[in-house]
Amino acid sequence: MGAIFEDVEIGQEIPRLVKGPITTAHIVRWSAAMENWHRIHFDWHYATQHDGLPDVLVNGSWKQHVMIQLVTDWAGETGWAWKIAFRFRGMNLPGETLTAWGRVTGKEERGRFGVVDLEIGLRNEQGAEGTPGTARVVLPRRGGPPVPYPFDPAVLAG
Amino acid sequence: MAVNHITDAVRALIGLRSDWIEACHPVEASEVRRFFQALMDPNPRYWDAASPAAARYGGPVAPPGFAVHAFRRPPDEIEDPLGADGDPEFDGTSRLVRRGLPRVPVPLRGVLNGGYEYEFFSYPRLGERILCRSAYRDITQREGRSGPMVLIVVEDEYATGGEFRPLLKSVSTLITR
Amino acid sequence: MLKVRTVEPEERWFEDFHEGQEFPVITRGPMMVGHQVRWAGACDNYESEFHHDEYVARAQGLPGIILSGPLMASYLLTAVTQWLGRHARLVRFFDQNRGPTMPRDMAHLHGRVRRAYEQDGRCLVELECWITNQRGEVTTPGSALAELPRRPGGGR
Repeated sequence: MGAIFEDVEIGQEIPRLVKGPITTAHIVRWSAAMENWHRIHFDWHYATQHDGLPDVLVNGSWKQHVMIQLVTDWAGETGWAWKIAFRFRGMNLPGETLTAWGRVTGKEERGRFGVVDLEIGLRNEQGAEGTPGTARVVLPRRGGPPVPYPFDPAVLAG
Repeated sequence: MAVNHITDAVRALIGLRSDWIEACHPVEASEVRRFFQALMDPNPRYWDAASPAAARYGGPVAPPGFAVHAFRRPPDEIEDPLGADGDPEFDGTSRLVRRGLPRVPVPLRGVLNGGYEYEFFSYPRLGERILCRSAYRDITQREGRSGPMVLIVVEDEYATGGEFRPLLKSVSTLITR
Repeated sequence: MLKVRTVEPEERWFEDFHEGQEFPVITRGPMMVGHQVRWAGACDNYESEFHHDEYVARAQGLPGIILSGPLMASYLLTAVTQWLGRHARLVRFFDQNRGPTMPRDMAHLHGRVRRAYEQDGRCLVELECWITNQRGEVTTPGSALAELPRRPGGGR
């Protein structure tokens, strides 16, 4: 079951998502699944000698879907992960374990549903925040209907 | 500012919107499986027609952001993205911002993904086609530590099915430098 | 990157092949890490990490990552089907990973007819094929046997 609006408290952390340690094989698998041929993700000589990077880089595209998974898992099948925004601020390398996290920063009743704002991010073991962002999730009220699918923001008008 | 990359030709692209472009094939089960396995997210909503999620969505669906990567190399496209005519410095990126939009004529080689803002409405089911139309919202120049950077802000709308059911809207920032 | 366009093989018949006949050399490369990554993706197989992880490859005593043997074999097999034409029915194909193909190596694909013969009413062409790199070293020796139809109407 997904979260219920009345149970959510400002400051509360949502369940974290841990991925890793990320190996070069994980990066290669993602690049191939995306058909993304940017060499900094799998060509070690190119990444280190041409671009001067410390190693191949974990794909930003992979990190963004981890962020989306974090929020959609929490919204569950009765809520809706409506908005997710983030910036790519730091690079991540093979060997790192990444933790996606989110914390409730605001909540508001909107018609028959509730809207919850989150700050989200993706940290490595050293605590470096590489992908800071925000999210907005629509949740059902206690005893109320699930958020209709497909989602239409008009349902929040009341 | 030493060099102004925001020429009239670049400025003319701001606000330009593409037609709807269709991905070269509909959402395939194997493609979705590779996607969620590479993401390490084996949620039954992506593969199990008997899951509670499938009841909500009308069948297994692709992950929420899948459509952003659905525009693959069509089978009749002979140009090989690994090649670039033997240039050993070629980084493997086409620099084509979107299939439906003309290239931005800025002579900067490096490309960085700055970030995304997403708004989700629905998810594509297996077998549904994916369409996208895009626009250059803004193109601006900034001075970075290593010289000028050009920020390209792109708006995308993704839709699916015969009825153009909205999937998501995206605003993304590409940084060239 | 040399552009190699693989198109439908030409029309060829049993009478078009004779012992000692050399096929035009097909060159692919320079091979890139991306070729290996794309192959791993096509096979959905990422188990052998020395194919894509420089550190793992060196720890295993290799000079660096090496391209997959079956990838090179598939290039060779594609060349064989091009050389023999669209009517050939491949009976047997064999190849051996003799030397590594590394990123930035070239792959020159060679072929020569060993025998063209009839047996039990079947027209067969046996050929040897091999890949050399830019130093002329044979990395992938192989052979193939194919059955071909006679030219319709007879004669050459």
